[in-house]
Amino acid sequence: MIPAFNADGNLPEGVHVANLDEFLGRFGVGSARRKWLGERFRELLALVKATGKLERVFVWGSFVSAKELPNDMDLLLLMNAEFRLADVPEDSRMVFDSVRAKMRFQADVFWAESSIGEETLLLWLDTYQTTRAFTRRGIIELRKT
Amino acid sequence: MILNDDQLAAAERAVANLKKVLIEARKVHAPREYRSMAQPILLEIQQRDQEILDYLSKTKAEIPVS
Repeated sequence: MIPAFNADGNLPEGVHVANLDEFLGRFGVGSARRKWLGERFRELLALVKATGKLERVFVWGSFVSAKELPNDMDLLLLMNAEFRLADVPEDSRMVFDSVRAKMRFQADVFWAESSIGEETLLLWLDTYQTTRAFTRRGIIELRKT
Repeated sequence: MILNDDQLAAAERAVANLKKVLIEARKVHAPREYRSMAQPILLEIQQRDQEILDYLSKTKAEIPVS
């Protein structure tokens, strides 16, 4: 279960696991902007899954905060070690091009192969658990379906 | 926006962490994949470095009270 927001309007520090329905039921509702971003997220996720190489998805930033009108979405896609851009279906390629992904999905998409290792992943996630206002916040990990 | 020296230290730690992520990622990604995955991280480092420089360019009197 996704926890309640803290006093800053962010999730409490930590990585909180949720499935897609729970995730969109919590964050893809409440305003037209949230519904729109939620649909973009669903679309983006389908394109990434079409590669057949997705392992893990993490989401942070204003979309997973109490903000009624989030600016965008921030996510990290962890792909398996066999992932190669050359093999990605044409429609899915835009997800792995940060400029195109930002324009199409209003998302800051970070990605890496899972071979970066758990230690590096934890360092990365810890970095994004500090907001730009230097407070701590939580991150969502989508449960694999 | 960085408002004090503690936040400056936190911003510098974040930049150092992101650089460590890139160093490790470069070891395990093929060149094309590394160039692509590094792009948004490099942009993030650039933005955070700019915030650090903005803070350091101000006199004490010019820094808003946090």
